[in-house]
Amino acid sequence: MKSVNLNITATAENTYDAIVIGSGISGGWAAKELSEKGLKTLVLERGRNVEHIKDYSTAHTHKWEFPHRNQLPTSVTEANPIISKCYAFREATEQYFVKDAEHPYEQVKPFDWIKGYQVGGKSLMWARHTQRWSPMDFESNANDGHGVDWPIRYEDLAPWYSHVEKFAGISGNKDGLPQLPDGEFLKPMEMNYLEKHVKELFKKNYEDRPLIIARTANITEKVGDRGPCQYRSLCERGCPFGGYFSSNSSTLPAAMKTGNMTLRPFSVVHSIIYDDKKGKAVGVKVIDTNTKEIIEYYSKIIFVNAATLNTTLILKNSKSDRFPDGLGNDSGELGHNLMDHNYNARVEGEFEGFEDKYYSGRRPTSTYIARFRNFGKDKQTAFTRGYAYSCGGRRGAGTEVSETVIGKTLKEDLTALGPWKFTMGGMGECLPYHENKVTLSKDKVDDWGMPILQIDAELKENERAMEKDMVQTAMEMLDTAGFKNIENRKQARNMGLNIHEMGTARMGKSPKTSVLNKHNQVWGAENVFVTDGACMTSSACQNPSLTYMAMTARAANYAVEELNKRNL
Amino acid sequence: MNRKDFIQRAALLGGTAMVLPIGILQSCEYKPVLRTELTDADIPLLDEIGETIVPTTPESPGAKEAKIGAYMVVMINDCFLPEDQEIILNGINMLDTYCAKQYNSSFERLSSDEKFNVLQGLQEEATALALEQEGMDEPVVHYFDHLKGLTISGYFSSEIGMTIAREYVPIPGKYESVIPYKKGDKVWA
Repeated sequence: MKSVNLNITATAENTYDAIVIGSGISGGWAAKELSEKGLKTLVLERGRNVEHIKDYSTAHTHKWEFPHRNQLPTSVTEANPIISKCYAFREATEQYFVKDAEHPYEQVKPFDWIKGYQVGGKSLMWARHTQRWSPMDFESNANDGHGVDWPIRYEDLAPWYSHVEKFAGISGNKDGLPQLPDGEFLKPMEMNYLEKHVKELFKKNYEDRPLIIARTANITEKVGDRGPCQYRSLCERGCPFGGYFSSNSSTLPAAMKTGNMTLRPFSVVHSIIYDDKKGKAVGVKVIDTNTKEIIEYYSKIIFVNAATLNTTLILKNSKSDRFPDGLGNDSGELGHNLMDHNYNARVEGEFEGFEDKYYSGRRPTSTYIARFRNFGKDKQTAFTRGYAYSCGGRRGAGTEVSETVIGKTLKEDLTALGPWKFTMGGMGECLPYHENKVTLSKDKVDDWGMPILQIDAELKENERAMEKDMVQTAMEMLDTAGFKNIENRKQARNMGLNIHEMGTARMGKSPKTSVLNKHNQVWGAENVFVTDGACMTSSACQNPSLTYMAMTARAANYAVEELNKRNL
Repeated sequence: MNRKDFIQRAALLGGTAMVLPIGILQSCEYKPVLRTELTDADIPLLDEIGETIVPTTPESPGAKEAKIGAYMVVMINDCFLPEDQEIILNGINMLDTYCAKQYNSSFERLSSDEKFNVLQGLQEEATALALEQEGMDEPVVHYFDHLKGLTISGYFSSEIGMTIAREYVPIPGKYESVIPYKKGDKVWA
């Protein structure tokens, strides 16, 4: 009798209204929305806690104070060949990246999987571009037949874009572009002198390609007690001014304020517990990474926000009589249709003139050209869909003189300003291919006894054809604008390195062809919601995080409505 | 052949002309050091190399005051691949050997003009080597290019380089999209 009572007590102690798996960009939003709506919410994070400001250990470190001036020693790069390819992995940010050996995976084809296991996840180091998707992006699968049709349209998400933009703080200009809908913007960051000039030149030659300032989650005005941005451009170290949106600076403190959130770091989720009789999930099985103890937590609803591939790993590892091949995998699509973006195209040119113009402050974002291919009057035969360009004008010290001289002449050259340069980086949409997939390793497990992931994905013909056009078009645009020394600086990035992994648990209209319904509910386990990148049915060419935020807020609102109607 | 032998041989090859008959060696003869690794003992030499590449000028201190030698030792030992470390080590040994032969002196003890001339010669060699290899996928980098690159990166990431030679504002607080610039104005660090 006594032991039964104890069990009941333990169960009661481990029971919440909602469980959120992951505290990154989408998990933070789930935590905030659910706890603000009164749900007792347990947030499980596999890594350590990183408290806003207090734990940003390198935020004020000057370059000369780092042992290697913010470069990584070979002992680190050789031990971490994968994450060392990531631009943001430096001496200042080492602590935020999962080391290669810490969580291995198998690559059938080269795939660079970049992970951040800590409270806040990768929202600490993200690049902060926040462009809305447009109506065209939700219709593209239906129009050209790749993948399955999205079960939602832009109109379904539009109010939720507004909802998250207002809280996150997105700076941007209302540009009135149908392919890049305007949002709830703080005042935009400014273009520099060259960028303003290039905007005019492009306008003259390419009516369909307006150069705009990127919409970005760096705040130009105070939002609550955060910010504004101080133009240091050291964002990925964690901002002591709260100058950009992260879970740590924004959503988690809001959730904490409600008194309804319990944050549990060091908690790896092993699987979701599905009750065959009830026909729904009842909780999650957690491994405490400090004690190795296995603990079960129970709740009415579960939000899975472990970041695309780990979300799918958890679903795949959640096997029951009802779902022998992974939770919600009636369709067999769980793990399939993995996407990223293609950022291989990069072109740079030199501008002659404006020697007497400079700028002050380090703007932490770029300018942007929204998609113009296969849009409006443009029709491409070599590829479907399109791409955007991230662009930037800048001036650095020194000229080519410095390459061949030493002494006083060299020093003079390197302490004076060099020419203006302008860079265009392509950001291409990737199609959802069934054969781009992740599966569970047959024989390898990680430190927690979880099967490791095997990733088998590649860019294909459409992505390659688009890449060619991204390079050629950028070169032509710079040439037409009168740039000199135009260089093709094509990258050879593996899939994954753009850190926009999407798909593998896609939304759809039918349980036969998708894993999630139009409210991000797992087909057959409707009290489980997946609202991170795993849910994506196509990739568009915009940076995806804002869409995950909107999707999460929308699903959380629906989940609470359904709970109140006793439907879940 | 082990690494030490290789380095010594490479240094000797690079400076064959200095292998003088033992009989004429005198007590005042400067003997070049055959390094098999880079240590703090090399800091004075590297300081002088750095100072010659980025010298003190009326506007700002040079690389030596920015502790370029200590920076180079740390960076070469910690951040360079073994093959590049080898190139640099051999190069420094060759430079030392060359100075012994040419000036019967260490590089450090040469006059400023002599130091400049020696390194100017190496710069020309490095430029020629780079030109020869233009368009090649994996060109061989001249050791002088490594030393010059390290001097530049080290100087301009040092406190002196960032705050005196250039202008460093840790917290700009605002972005001004256009400000005037004229010759002589500093560049942002």
